[in-house]
Amino acid sequence: MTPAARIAAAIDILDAVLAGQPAEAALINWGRASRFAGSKDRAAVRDHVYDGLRRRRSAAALGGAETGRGIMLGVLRSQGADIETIFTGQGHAPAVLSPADTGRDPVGAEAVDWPEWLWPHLVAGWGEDAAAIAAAQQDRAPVFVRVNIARTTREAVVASLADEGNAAVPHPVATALKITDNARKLQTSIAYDAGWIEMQDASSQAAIAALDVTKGQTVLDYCAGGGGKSLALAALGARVTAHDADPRRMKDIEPRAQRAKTRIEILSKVPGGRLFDLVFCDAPCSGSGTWRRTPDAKWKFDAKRLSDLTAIQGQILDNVVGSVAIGGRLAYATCSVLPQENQQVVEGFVARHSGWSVVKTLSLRPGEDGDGFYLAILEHNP
Amino acid sequence: MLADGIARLTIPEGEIFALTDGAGTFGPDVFPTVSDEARADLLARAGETEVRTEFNAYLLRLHGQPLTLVDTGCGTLFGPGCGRVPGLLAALGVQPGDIGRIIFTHLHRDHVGGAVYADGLAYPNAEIVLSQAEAEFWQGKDATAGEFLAQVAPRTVTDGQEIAPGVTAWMLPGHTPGHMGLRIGQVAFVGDILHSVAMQAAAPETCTKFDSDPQIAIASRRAALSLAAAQDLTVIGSHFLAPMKFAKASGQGDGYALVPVA
Repeated sequence: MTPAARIAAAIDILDAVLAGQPAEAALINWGRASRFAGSKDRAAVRDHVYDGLRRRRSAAALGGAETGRGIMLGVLRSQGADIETIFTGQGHAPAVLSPADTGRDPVGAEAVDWPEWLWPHLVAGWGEDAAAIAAAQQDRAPVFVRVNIARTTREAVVASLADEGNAAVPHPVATALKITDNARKLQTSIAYDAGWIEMQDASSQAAIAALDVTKGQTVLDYCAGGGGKSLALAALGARVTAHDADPRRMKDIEPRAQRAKTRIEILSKVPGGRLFDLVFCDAPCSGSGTWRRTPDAKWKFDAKRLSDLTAIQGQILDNVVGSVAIGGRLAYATCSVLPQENQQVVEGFVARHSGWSVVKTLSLRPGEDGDGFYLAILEHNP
Repeated sequence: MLADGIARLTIPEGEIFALTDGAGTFGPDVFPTVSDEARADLLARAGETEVRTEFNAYLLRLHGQPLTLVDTGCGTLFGPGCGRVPGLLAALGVQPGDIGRIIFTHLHRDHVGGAVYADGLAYPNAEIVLSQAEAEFWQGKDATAGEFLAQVAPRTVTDGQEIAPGVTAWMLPGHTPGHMGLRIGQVAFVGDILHSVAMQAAAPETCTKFDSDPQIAIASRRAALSLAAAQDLTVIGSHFLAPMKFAKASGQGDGYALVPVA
């Protein structure tokens, strides 16, 4: 495919997404219908689509329309691309420019690709930094891996990856490596098969480190999902019990634990009793600190969903408070940057449960060092 | 002078009598994760040559409360060497009809066996209390526990609930799904979190083959013993051996050391 044909394909896929299809489904449909496209074509088209979705608002302004064509045009303009050589109308290239393709400079929340209704909330949480928080999510996310330092070192992993053509550099968090080249091939690497690395954002790793878990401590990972944080906690020597409201989400934990040569107990129902030195709630959330990875979600998110989520988040803390051992700790985390899902949930919990207080918080901004992430650690003093 | 097989602890709330229903030994198969060498080492440190156990039930004589049993021993299920509880109660002047309440830590046969006779209930006037999770687990099961539950109308409780004034349910699951301890002031009944003090106190990671969920059982053991050590509680375990029917716990290495209460 020519570079222009790839843009044209991205325009069609974006139109399907704007019409309501999930981005992944639209990409798969296009892939099935486009047997002629090679793997490099598919990767390039996918990148174009995701670039467009991340910058949907600002690109639509720059491109003159909230359509696939307008968005791709806006993305290319923001990149300073030579538009005339792409929009030629020749072969499979997009049609030549017309007066309707005239754009304008985006303003305010639009310029940083943040949903308008959600802008006051971000400002309430971050003040003058709100624009930078939003803008950090206009570009592709860096890729990080967590090194299982119970079994190997970061240096050994860097060397092993280098042998296979992957480049990685250390991150300030002791377990993290940032992948600087060939990230798509990580899951076929020897280091991955050997259980030395797991895909995990550096901010999640920073949060796990901030929990100060010691060997032999009992930890309940109450919203374990696929078990990424359970595995990270087990690698620190914690005795981890994983739970999820939807046990099907935990189906990958057992094989992942086997690969890491560790043991994680999986429970669909938490037993009664104040048993756990640490109860960790990585609560379901908007994902607004990771929207550069799931830009579709940014535009679908609405006020109803936000209020549903904050209710669920408060309920989760209420559910687990009775599982914290006397003298133990309760940790609440999200990958959201919205105060409603973070500080306000914790404040609500503290107001409902006497004796609990926050002893530590971590509020990480999305950027080159990782995603947006929030963590609060609470203790009970009767 | 107390009869052989009875030990007494006096507390501000009243009196607790430990009643030794019987005794036995556990083979190596009971602790499947412990190697022969580790087993020999743990036993040597405890001054023992085999893993002995005693089956304990308790009589609570608390001010202003009906006479209460915590568990009932083995009854007739474990042979002639066990089932001494009714005789020990008689030695204290207590008849079966005098027992107003039985609180079960869990419903394994060495705890509930003494509550049922072939022809009916051993303590006809007793209110039955156990954890909700334990009742749900055994309800309808073809086992002594299931048969027992079919004959009674138990009151079920959850963690932290007050069973009687000053007597609080303390969930310590893992040995069974609804295994429960009790807190009475500075006293902590810990049930079967320690099947063998010699094998499990110093090495709390050690589980028995009877534990329904070993990992949760370990969490319960650690949570209970660390709290007992931190708050200087008197620990009472269902399988404690004379002369240590009542103990104090303290942290020691990765585990705990228990010493008898004088």
